[in-house]
Amino acid sequence: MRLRVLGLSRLRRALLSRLDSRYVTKPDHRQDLKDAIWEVQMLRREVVGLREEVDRLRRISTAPVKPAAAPTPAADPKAAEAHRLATETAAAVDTLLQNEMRIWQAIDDLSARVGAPGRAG
Amino acid sequence: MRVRWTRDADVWRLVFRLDPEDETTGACTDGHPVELRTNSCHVRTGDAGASPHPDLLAVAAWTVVAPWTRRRVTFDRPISAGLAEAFRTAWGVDAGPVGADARRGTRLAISYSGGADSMAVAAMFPDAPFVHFQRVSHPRVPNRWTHYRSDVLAQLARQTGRELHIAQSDLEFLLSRPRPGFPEHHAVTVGALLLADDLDLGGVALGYEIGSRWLGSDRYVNRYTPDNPMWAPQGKWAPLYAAAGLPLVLPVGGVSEPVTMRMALGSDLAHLVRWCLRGDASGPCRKCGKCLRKELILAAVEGRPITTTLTARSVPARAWQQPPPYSGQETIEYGCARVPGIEDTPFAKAAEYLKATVESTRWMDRCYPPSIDETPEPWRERVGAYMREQVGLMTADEQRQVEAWAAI
Repeated sequence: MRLRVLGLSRLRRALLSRLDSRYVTKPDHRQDLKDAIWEVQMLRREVVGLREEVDRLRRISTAPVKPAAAPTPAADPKAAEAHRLATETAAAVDTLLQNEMRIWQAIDDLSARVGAPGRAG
Repeated sequence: MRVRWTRDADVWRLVFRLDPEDETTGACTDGHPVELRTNSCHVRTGDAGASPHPDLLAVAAWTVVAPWTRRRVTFDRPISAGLAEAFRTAWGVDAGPVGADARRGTRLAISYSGGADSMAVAAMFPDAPFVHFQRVSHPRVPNRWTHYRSDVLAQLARQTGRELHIAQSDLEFLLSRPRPGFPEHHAVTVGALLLADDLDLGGVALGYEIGSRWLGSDRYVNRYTPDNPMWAPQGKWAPLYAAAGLPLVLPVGGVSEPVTMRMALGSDLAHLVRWCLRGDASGPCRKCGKCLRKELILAAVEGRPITTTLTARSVPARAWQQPPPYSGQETIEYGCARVPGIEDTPFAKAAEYLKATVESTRWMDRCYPPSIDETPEPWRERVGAYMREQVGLMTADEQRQVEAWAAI
């Protein structure tokens, strides 16, 4: 009885492996699945990126920003460098200030949830 | 949104904190997208005095925090039930705490910028005190816009010799986008609000003319808008100001820019009129977009050719090389129809597109009567009398032209 089962299962295994070899192997299947998942994740990331791009463009189209003045050839490279630095610093400060507000928003939200009253001001 | 005002001598400081649902992006009442940079600002009112009624502080704060607030606003002192109700019905915003009596006042103040429109208002109310908003730098924001000479405008306001209160504020720097400016147009009244109790104010008059009030001009929809959310009595803002005992008054809401220009030029302050934000003490710059646009109106009113060194290819003239709609288009039509030799000016292309005639723009020489009807008491009578005697009222046909207006 046991032998028969083993024999059967051996036969079946042989049959299945033959069938598999005619089509796709299990490791290949696994690899295919992994690839597909990877592909889906990449697409998801791309969709997120595209959505951000769409939002950005939508903001631009609703708020027509004056096109930046054509860069005038800088007579003094030091002045141009100072201007670049000033502009970039100001933009960086803006980000810091906004993040400060968001951090306080998160702190206040957490305080409210744990029951400790947040301090306004 | 949680709002807190503190006072340090003659300076009021505003700090606000965002609730979980609030955001750093939003829209001004006219729909324009705006972005918040930081959450503090100050107003130097220059007059120490009694603490303003909480409703005044609340409305002043709201002119700064409205775009970022989604559902509720919590003030640091109780407001009146009437104001809370106005927040609920006009804005769908839950405002509180509630617990103050309603406030009242009697005098009318003029929010005076020094331009032709507010000068026209000053001509109608010669005894009304001026409150002038002056931009100053924000301690946390590098000022990259020093070409804006708010100091010059304040100096010109001082030279009027009228009762004047200057509110110096950095609140415009709260906006990171599109650029420093009022988060809401109404923030210009912050000085009048904070001083209202000191000066016993019962109304604040602004120089918004027919384009802003009725024709959706500036950044709004550019068509007839009786229900304009910024300035109509049934809009989003008028109920708040009324509840705070400081109703908004638009004495020149029924007349066009050519009319306010005539009124300003005919007033005893005419030599001090200034719409240019860049010029110094010696005069306007004559090179910016505002100078170019106002020169068109001025030339039309004075019946002379335009004098400008700007060409059609210059940056300030760029907008007029494109097809309409234009912002404040009715005024451009008026100018193009009247200025001799318009085809040799930066407005040549616009004139070609608009095909306006003296006949098609004559309605702009008169006052639109519904604007008088909606003026709050007790100032309606003065506005009505002035318009009937000095300007004249539109005929039924002309009123229909206003009501059919759309800039296309």
